[in-house]
Amino acid sequence: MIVLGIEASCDETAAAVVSDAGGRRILANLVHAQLAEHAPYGGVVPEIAARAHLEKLPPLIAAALDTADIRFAELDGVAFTGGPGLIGGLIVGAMTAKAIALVHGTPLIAVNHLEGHALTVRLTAEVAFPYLLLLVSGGHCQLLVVEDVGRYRRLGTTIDDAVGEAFDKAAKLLGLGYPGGPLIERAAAAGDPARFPLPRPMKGRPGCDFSFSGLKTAVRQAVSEIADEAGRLAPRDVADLAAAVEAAIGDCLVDRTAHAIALFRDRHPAGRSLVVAGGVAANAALRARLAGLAAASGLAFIAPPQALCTDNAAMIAWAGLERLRLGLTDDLAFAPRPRWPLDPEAAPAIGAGVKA
Amino acid sequence: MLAFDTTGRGCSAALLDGSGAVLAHRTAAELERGHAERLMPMLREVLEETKVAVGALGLIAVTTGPGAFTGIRIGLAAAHGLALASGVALRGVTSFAAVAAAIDPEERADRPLLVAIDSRRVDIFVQHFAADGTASAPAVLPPAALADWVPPGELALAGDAAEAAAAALRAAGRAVVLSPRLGPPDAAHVGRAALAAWRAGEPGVPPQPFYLRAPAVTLPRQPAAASP
Repeated sequence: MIVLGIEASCDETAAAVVSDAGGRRILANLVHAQLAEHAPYGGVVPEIAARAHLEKLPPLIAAALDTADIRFAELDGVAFTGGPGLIGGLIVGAMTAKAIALVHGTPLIAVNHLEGHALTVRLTAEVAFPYLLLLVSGGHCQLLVVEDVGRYRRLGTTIDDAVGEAFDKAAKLLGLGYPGGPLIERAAAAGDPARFPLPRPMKGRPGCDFSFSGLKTAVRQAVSEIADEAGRLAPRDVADLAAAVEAAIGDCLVDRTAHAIALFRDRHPAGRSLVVAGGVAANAALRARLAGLAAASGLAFIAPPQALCTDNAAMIAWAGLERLRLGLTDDLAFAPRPRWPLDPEAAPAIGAGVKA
Repeated sequence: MLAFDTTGRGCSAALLDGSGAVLAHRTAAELERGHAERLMPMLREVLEETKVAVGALGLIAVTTGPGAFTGIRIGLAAAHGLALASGVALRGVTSFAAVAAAIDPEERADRPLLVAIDSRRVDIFVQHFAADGTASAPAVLPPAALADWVPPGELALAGDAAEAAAAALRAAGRAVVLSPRLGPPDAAHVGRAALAAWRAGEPGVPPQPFYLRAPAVTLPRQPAAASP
């Protein structure tokens, strides 16, 4: 089967084509990141994002089909991110996908963005259900058991900030810029993680929930103590603080994931894998620590390639393909869902909003 | 041709023939939200009713705005998706032109026409059409500024903000005649306006959003050092 994927739920406009005929393949995977559009405002502006999605999406879809050398009539399915995310972009992606589906009577698949992240690993590796998933990105921080396509059990979530958000806020305090994850990672490489003792929120507490807002407060405190009168930090201080942030986040992720592994093994003795997905999974230091944890627990550690960790449409196309194989399609009347928890039975985390 | 509108408090779809006759029509009036759910099933219905495939259409026409920002994008994203997947030509029609196309010449009786579109804020989106059809530049104005902006003389008023515009103009002592067309643009007239422009050999309006107002965001304040 050949499926077109469309992603427009935040600040990346993306279109991709994947196939499972003669082996799983990505035939095209194009992303337009709206960094320049939002940079003057210091964050994503929903109305600007929606305007950019409408402008960029149609030519991007045309280019993706061109790259894949596929015509619309040859598509077996049209998949799009139906939520969660910013409503303006979700609507642009949904209407474009519905229109394409209407022209050729192609099956339409509304994909949960988080399900895209959760299933991507099955596009690039052989991973059987069930598996334990740590989903870490700018908008999310969750531990889930992936039982099957469309069946997820949440073990833990952040109760305030997402982990990518923690990186972004720390990077801003250190004057490193945006997005924070890769900038902190680079600065941390030359730093001493032991010089600044930062807190490890939730570490040692029962359960699998995360919290990162206290870490941000501690970084702000440390910066105010060592900065000069003009608020500047010495390069050494920046490196040491970045290393301390990375180490603290790593400790939290390892501690919470260890709890989740214990639960996972108890409930799913046949489960074999720990999968890490989302933009933060691109951090090499964190990846290494989580790989070590998996090895010590007798689980295989699997993470998608870096380009499939950050937001993209190949993951939406793939999740759409997996759903299509099971006959899980959607109607032209589908209403985009700004909030759409993967595990509808999990209790909402009050401070985390859509991140949970 | 297939035409549709989602820019106002309503959603409509129409299939027309080359003479501008409506072969199938669907409308959902007084629709505050939910255009994204309603539009595509309506398009499928008019296509099925007339047994026309998208690929067999000669033209797709869509309202480009002004109106609700999200509504503008719903129609345009759908229109671009249809055109991209079918290869059918796509034309834009402004909300002003679509409303103006619905006004009966007898009803206008040589009066100039002011089309007033709801902006969902205090300001009103307006365009003025002289008796000979000459159109002014579109504008965004507070109601109180309308009387000074509109040329003197009796006016016909249409559009979903016509009542608000009429109240402001009458308060300023202007004579106005309210058209019975007080809703958002209708798909049939979107189609007829596109057809008329196409027949006249006009390049038409590009199928791009006509927001007529910048996003309501302000740039963050510069660091203290850069302030005066």
